[in-house]
Amino acid sequence: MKEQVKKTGFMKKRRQDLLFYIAFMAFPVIQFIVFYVVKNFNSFVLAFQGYDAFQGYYFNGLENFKKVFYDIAHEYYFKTGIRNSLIHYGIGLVIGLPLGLTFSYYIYKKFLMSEIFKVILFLPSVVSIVVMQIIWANVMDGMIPEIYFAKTGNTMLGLMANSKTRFLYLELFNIWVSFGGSMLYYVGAMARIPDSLIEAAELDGASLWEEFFQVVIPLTWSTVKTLLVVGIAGIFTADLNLYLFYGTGAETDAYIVGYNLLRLTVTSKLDGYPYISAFGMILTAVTMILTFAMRFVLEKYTWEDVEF
Amino acid sequence: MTITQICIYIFVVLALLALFSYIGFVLVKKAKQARKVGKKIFTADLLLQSIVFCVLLVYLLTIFAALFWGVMTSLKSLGDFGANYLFDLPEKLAFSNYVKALKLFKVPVSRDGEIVKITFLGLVVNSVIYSVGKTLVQLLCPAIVAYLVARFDFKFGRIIYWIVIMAMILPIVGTTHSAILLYTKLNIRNNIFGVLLGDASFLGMYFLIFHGVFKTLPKDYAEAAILDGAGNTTIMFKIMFPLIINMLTIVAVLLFISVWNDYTTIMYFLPAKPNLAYGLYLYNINPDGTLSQTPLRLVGCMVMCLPCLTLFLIFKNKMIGNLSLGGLKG
Amino acid sequence: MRKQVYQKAGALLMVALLATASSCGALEEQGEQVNEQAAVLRVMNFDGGLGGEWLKDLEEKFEAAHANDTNWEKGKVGVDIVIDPLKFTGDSLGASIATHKDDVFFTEGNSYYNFVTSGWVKDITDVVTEVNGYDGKTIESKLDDEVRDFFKTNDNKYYALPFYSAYEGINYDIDLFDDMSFYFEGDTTKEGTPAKYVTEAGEKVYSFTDLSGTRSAGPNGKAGDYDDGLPATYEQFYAMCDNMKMQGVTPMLWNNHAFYMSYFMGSLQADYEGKDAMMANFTFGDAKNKTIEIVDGFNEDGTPNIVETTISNTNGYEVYSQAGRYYALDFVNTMIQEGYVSTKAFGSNENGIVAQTDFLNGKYSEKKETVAMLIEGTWWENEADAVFKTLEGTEGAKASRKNRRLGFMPFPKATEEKIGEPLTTMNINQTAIFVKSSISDERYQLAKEWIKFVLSDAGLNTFTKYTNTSMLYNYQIEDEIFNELSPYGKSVYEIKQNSIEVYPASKNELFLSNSGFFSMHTDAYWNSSYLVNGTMKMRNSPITPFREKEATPIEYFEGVRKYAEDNWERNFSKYFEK
Repeated sequence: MKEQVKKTGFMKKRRQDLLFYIAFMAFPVIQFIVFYVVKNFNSFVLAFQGYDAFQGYYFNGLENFKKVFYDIAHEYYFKTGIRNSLIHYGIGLVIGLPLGLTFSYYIYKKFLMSEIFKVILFLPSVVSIVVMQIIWANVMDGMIPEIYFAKTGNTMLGLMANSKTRFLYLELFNIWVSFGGSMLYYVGAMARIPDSLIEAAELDGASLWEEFFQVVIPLTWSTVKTLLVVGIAGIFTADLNLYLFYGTGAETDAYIVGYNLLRLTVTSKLDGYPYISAFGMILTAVTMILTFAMRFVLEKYTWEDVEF
Repeated sequence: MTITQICIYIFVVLALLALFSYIGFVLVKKAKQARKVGKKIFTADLLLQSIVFCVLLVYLLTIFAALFWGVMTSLKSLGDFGANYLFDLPEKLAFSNYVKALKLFKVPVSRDGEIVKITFLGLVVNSVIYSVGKTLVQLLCPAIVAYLVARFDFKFGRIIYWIVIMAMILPIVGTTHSAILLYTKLNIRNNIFGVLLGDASFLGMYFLIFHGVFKTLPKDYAEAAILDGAGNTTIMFKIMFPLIINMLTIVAVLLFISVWNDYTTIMYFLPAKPNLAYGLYLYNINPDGTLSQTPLRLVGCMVMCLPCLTLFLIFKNKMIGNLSLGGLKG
Repeated sequence: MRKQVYQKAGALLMVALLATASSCGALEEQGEQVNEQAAVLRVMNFDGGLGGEWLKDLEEKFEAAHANDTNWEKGKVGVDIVIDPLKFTGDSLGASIATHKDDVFFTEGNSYYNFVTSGWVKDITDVVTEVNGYDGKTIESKLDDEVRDFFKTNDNKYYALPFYSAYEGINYDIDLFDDMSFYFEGDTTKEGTPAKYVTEAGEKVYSFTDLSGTRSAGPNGKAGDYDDGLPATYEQFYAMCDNMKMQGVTPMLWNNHAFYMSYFMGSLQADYEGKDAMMANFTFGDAKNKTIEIVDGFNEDGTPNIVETTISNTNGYEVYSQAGRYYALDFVNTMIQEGYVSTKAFGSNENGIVAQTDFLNGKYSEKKETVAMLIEGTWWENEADAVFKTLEGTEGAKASRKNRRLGFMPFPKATEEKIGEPLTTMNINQTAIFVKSSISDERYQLAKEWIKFVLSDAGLNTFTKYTNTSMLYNYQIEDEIFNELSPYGKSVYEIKQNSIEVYPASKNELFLSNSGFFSMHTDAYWNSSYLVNGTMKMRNSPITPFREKEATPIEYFEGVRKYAEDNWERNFSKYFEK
C-alpha cells in the first residue's frame, strides 16, 4: 500500500516534471528549428540554385560550386584570403594565446598592480571596436607621420599605408583589443584550481616557471582546448576588421576569407546569394576537417583533461 | 629644444626611475616576507615577474594614451582640429562640440516607405531596447535550457547537449544572407521584437557555462524545496537561478556590452531601427560635411562608451575570475 | 565603500547621458508637416554632397505659384510639396518602391532599365516632349544626344530623366596659383623673357609667370580664355608640380577611397579618348563608331603603338586597351613616383572629409602642408561647407566659400598633339529623376507639373545657385545667378560650358545586364592581373602597386586588359554576337 503511494507519487512527480520540461523546452526548440535548421537548410538549398528576375530561384545543379572552385583556383584574392586567414589564426595561436595566458596568470597571482591591469586588459572589449578603430587609424596614419614631420620637416608614409606592414599593423590592432574575452575564461579557470595544489607546489620549492607549466597550465588546459577548438570556427569568419578600416574597398593583398564573405554578403543582391551559399558550404566543410584535426592533435599530443 | 621639452624629458626619466625603484622595493619586500615563512625565492622568478610587469605597463600606457587622445580630440573645436597637429592638445576645451554633435546627430532611414530621421535620443533608446532585450533572451534561453538539460534526466536532454556541442565545433559558415532572406520572409526584418526572436537561441558558449554550474550544484536545495511543496517553476526561478546569480550577472554584463557595441546585426536585420553603434558606423563610411569630421565623430564615440564603461566599472570585480568553461565532451 | 562610489558615479553618468540625450528632444523626426488642406506630393531627394537647400527653395516657389489651385485634387486648395531627404543609399529602393510613401524620386546609382522592366516607374514621356509652360522649351531639347538615347526606351518612351552631373578632377587653389606664380609663361621661345622660376621636366625648360605676364594658351590652345597659363600637357603639369615642390608647396592631395581615383583615371581616359571612343566602354557592340584605337604593344621609346580595331560585344575587352587608360595610369604613377602627391593620401584616416579639411586648411596653418590641388568630385565644395564656415570664423572673410577662389582645372592633355582638342568631362555615375508607377492619378498630374517646374530654366538655375554645380541638362545661367556663385561654382560652370560631357550608360544589353561591372565605382574598371616574381597577382587599384614599384604603368595597363580578356567569355558569352 505504502509502496504504491510512493510509486504514484513518483509517477505524478515525473509527469509534472515532463510537463514543466516540455513547457520550457518548447520555445527554444521551435526557435532552434526555425532560426537554425531552416536558415541553414535554406542556405544549403540556395547553393544549388540560380536566380533571375523573371523566374526567381531555380535549380542550377553544381554551377555555383564550379564557379567558387574556379575562383579559388584563379582569383588572386581568394588565394591571398586563404593564406591570410591561416596566418591570422596562426598568430592568434603563437602570440595571442601565450600572451593571454601569461597575463591571466599574472592577474591570477595578484602580482603588482594586477587590479589595474585587469581593468585595462578588459577595457578595449568594453569600448566599442568602432572607437578603437578611429583612434588606431588616426594614430598610425595621422599622428605618427605628423610627429615625424614636426621633428624632421619631412613627410613619411602612414604605418598602415605600406602594404608590407599593413597586415602586421592590422594584426597588432587585433591583438591590442582582444585580450579581454579570453582572459575572462583563463582567469576563471585558474581561480578554480584548488589552493592546496598551489600551496603544495610552493612548499615543494617550485619556481613560478614550474608552477605555471606543471600545475596551472595542465589544470586549465580543458578550457584552453575548448577555446582553441571553437576558435577554428573563426578562421573563416574573422575579418581582421578590414571592413571597419576600408569598407568594401580593401586592397586585394590584404584580403582575408571572412572579409571576402562579409563583402559578398553586404554587396550582393538576390542573384548573388547562391554563390555565397556554395562558398559557405565549402568553407564549412574545410572548417569541419580542420576542427577534427585540431581536436585530434590536442587530445593526442597535449595535456589530458584533469578532473578536480 | 625648448625649456618645456627639457622639463618633460626630465620628468619622464624621473618617473621611470621612481617606478622601477618602486617595483624593486615591492619585490624585495615580498621576497623577504616569503623567506620568513620559509618559501624559496628565485631571482629568475623576480625577473620574469618584472618583465611581464613592464609589458603590461606598456600596454596600459598605450590604452590610456589612445583613450586620452580620443577624449581630447572630441574636445577640440573644428578650427583647432583643422589647423593643428593631431597630437596637439586642444587650445581650448570645446564642450560645445558635445552639444553640437548631439543636436545634429540624426540618422535618416527609410521605414515603411517613409523617411524618418532618428535623433540621438532615438538612437539611444533603440540601443537600450535592443541591448536589454537581446541580453535578456540570450541570457535566459541558454540558462533555462541548460537547467533543463542538467537537472532532468530525460533522454531529450542528451540530444540538446549534443546539438550544442556540434553547433559549436562544426559551425556553419556564411549563412547571413540566408538569415536575411528568412527574416524578410517572416516579415520580421526591421522589427526589434522579431529580430529578438531570432536572437533567442540557446546555442553557444554560455549554455556550456550554465550547464557546468547546474551540474555541480548539489541536489539538496531542490529536494528541500520539493518537501516544502514548491513547484518546478518556483524551484528554477526562485531557488536555482538565485544560486548562480553571480554568473548570470557576469554573462548579462558581457552580453550587454557586446550587443550595445554591435553594428553588423543592425546593418543586416534592423537598418531602419538604427542603434548608436550603427549610426556612428554610418557616419564613418558615408561622408557628411559636418558630422564626419573627426572631433564630432569622436563625441559620438565617447558618449556611446559611457554606459558600458559604467557597467564594467561597477561589476569588474565580479566579472574577472568568476567565469569558468569546462571541456567539450561530446 | 569603493563599490558605492562606482555605483554612484555610474548612476550619475547614466543620468548625464539621458539628460544630454533628452535635451535633443524627440526620438524621431517625421520631416515636414503635411498640409491636409492642399494637394500633397511627396518627393524623395538623395541628400548627399549636394544637400537639399535648392529643393527647399523650389518647393517654396512652386507652392506659392500654385497657392490657389483647386484642380489637382478634389476639395483641396493649393499644393504642398513634402520633401524627404535620404542620406544613405544603403537601402536600395527597388521592390519596396510600390509601398514607398514618396511619389517622385531624385536619386543616384539606380539601374534605370531594371526599374523599367520591373514596372516600378511611371511613363513621363509627355513631360519630356511637351513644351514647358515655364520657359517655352521642351525638356528633351535640353538633353545631350546620348543621354536622350539612353533614357528614351526602344518604344520611344521616357520613364526617367537624369539628375545632377558631377565630374571628378583636379581642383586647385586659384589664390595660391596667383600668389606663387604657378602659371606658364606664354612665349617660351621669346628671348629675354624673365622666367621667374625655371624647372626641368624631361629636357624642356619651362618658365612661369604671375598674372602680370603673358600666360600660355593652356590645354585648349586658345589664348585669352579661362584656361590661360594652366598646364597644357601632362609634361607641363609635372613641371608645374616640380615648381610647386621647389617652393615648398605640396602639389596634390587625394583621399583614401579607391573609387575616387578610379573616377579620376576614368575621367583622364575620357578626356584623352573623346566622347565617341569613351562611350565604347559602355556601348560595346552598339557603339556609334565601332572603330576604336587601341594600344598594341609599346615602342622602344616607351610610347604606345596605336592600332585600330572594330569593337563588338564579343571582343568588348578591347576597350581595356584604349590608350587613354595607359596615359591615365602613367599620370597617376608619375604623381606618386615623383612625390607630387602628399603621403597623407595613402593613410587609412584620410577620408574625403579629412582630405578636404587638409586642403582648405593647408595654407593657413604652419603645421600643415600647403596643398595646391585636390582630386575630388565637383560636389566637394558644397560638402565642405562646414569647413569653410569654420575657417571663416578663424581666418576671416577671405577664407569664406564666397570669397575663397578655388577652381576646377581643365585636364591637361596626355601628348602635345592633343592640345586644342575639346575638353571632355566624364559624369561619374548614373543619376535619375522618376515617378513611381503606383502613384495615384491625381498626384501623377501634379508630379508631372512639378518635374516640369524643377527642370525649367529657372528651376535648373536655382539648383546651380545653391549647389555651385549643374544638373545634366543644357541651360544658360542667368547673369544675376552667375554673379552670386562662388568662384568655384563659376569655374565649374565654365568647364561645363566649354566641355563635352560623357554619360556612363547605354542601352547595350551586355552593359545593362552587368552595369555594376562596368561602373567606375566598382573596382572592376581597373582590375589588373600581372606577374610578380612568378606569381600572378590581381590588384583592384593601381595606387599601392605604383607606390611600391610592384608594377610599371605598362605592366599594370597590360594586366587590365589581361584580366578583362581572361574573364570575358566566362562571364559574358551569352551577350556575344552570333
